Amino acid sequence: MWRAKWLYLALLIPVALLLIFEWLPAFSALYNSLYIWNGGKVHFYVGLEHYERMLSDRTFRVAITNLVGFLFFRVVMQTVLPFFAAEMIVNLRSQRWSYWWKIIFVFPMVVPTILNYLIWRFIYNPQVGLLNEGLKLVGLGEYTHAWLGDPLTVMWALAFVRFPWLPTLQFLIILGGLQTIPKEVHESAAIDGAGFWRRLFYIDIPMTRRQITLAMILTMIFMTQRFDLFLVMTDGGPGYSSMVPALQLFQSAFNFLEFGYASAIGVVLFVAMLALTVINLRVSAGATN
Amino acid sequence: MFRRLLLVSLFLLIFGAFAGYTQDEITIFATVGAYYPDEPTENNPDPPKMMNAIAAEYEAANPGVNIELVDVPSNISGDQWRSTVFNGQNEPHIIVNNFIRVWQEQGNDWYVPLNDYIEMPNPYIPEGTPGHERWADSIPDVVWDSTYHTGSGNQYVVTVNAVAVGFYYNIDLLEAAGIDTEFDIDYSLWADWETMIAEMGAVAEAGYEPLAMSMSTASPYTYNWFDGTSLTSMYIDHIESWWEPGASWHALNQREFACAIHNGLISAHDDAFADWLGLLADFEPMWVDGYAVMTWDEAYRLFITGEVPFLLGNAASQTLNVTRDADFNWGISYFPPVTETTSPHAANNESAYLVGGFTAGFTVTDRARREGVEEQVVDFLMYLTAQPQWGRVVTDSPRSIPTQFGLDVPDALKPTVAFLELPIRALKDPDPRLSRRYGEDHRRLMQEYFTDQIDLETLIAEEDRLMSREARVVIAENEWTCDFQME
Repeated sequence: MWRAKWLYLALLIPVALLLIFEWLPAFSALYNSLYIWNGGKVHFYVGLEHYERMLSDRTFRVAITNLVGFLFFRVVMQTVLPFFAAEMIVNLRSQRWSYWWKIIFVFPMVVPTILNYLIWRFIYNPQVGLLNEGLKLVGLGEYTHAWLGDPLTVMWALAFVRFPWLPTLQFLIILGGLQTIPKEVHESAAIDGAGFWRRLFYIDIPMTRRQITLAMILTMIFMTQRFDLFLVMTDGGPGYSSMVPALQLFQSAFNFLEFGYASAIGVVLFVAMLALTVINLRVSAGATN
Repeated sequence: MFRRLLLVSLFLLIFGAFAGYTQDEITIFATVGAYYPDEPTENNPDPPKMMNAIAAEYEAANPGVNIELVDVPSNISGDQWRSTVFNGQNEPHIIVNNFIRVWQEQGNDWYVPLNDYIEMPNPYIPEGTPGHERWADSIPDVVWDSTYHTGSGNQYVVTVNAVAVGFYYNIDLLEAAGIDTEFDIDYSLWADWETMIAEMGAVAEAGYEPLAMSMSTASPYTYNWFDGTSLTSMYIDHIESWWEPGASWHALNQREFACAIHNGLISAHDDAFADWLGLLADFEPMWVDGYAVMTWDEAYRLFITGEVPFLLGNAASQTLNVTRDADFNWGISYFPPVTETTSPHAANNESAYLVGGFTAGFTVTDRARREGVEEQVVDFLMYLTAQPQWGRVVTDSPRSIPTQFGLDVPDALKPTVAFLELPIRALKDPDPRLSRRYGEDHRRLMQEYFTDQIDLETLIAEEDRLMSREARVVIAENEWTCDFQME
């Protein structure tokens, strides 16, 4: 009994730290979004002015549009492809090979993200980049392009960064889900004559729906918060053609010292993410039922 | 009882001595810009080192004072770094900063006015040398005038560097393509803007992308340079009417430009403004593919590997790099003047204008005031900027032309001295012209126009809206009046 009490008490420490370092800053954004604040002495109440401004802010509108397209593409890719990778690994007969394949899929996790971006910047370089050089090599020189410098191609180019979209965390979540399906279920399906596709659609996908939903939600949250990709690769350009809300938030705060407006963008993103997560969970739960 | 008293007394004695000792210790944190004594690397085999020696000399002469040189992280912008350290009240006591940035940030009380200090004698300048009697005399008036903040009446910056920009050109490559590499005028390969476009067009016909430059909003410098200098040329007949009373030719401060917009003296709907947009649009095809997201380093690599014959760069640090890296013959030229062959609005324009000049200087921050060490910090600044010390810094690593009387121009930078003799551009980079927000949005608008996302009509309408909005904001924030301007 005393051990349980101590555990409760011990838990207070991380909870307090969490409140101070995570919850407090997050909720202070709500407060700051009602103020004009330059990060210094200028700090006065403006009510909902920042939220009104957002409605007429052309940059924010473009940023949201870019994000929606980007999210849709990446959520689909970062769920479907890890699912198929996990499905293949689960179906391997050799445990040893299965182990090595998992290692190979998990390995990219240790590569620093920034290094990855710099490699992709080099791939897309219009003068000496791998993509254009490759096109020239196979006789498609007329298709060489300033991939990041053209508003028509920049978002596609960014969406392809980290191709073939096998994020470790999502992969492991789905793999974990697939591994929990009892063998007997698959064996019964096989006896009933179910092939790969039938098994996939009638057993594996329904039985890993929770993991798939979690992977989708995580991708959505990570991608919405992501501004480093856009900052390093294009800084939102050319013009606003690769601007996303997280980058606009960052620039408002640190380039223009508009911490109030940046906080308001943060609050809107938080609410949107929360709403999307709830919808996703409801839809998923409904489908499972 | 006696033993307890003895122990307490001993404790107080030790603690008191320690407290007294720490109170007398002063650590001055300072950024020194391009002169930070870095470790040698493959890309920078011979970094500056003199600052360490100067700091050590000062520490030896001032027991109890420690000098800590601070490197500004290269992975965030200077603006972001400053807002972080100032808001965390962790800023160094001395910061190298662009005087325009200091103007924009002076409302935060981040910097100590140096008006009284620069009137004092500088004991570290030898007797008989300008500045010994009065520190300000060590630096020409033109430098002080350029960096003086008319709005507040304060001088915040001691500027000991002068730099220009320039077009580096690959002589071997241009000659092989049959392009003339003789100067048409004293400071430029080209007699006027049109000649420059025509010759770069010939380079393009020879199969090269002509000019390596960057218009990335993350590192926008290169584009900003011809934005400001060419706009100055287009409004040459009007700029005098934008000045504050009694001013002579100078880089306009925010108030003058904001009021010119507010009073309708400049508008994106002007014919001169339209001609200026046309001038930039004619120049844009000469820029390398991907310029909108290209970084300075990427542009440099294109030039140094012989991919591109022209590079627009900083005529100080880049000269050192090109001298080190180029395995071809190269030269450095300046912008040509914009003349009436480009636009009737530039008919009375006779010159190109200096980009750069006396941009970066030393500021003393509020931390010195907060900690009560202002005089000690200024004393170190006097020591550092005195000719005997600064001369060694620049000789060790010639990254800029020293502004102080009595110091020589480093040999590597002599070709750029002619550029520094040009009149300063009245209209500076978009950011300091009005505000950071204006600079950023203006560049993005121009990118949208250049990449055919918006047409000329939309560009003019958006630019006009942007200029009006930011002028209004800047005037309101600073509580300025604009009744000094008369057309």
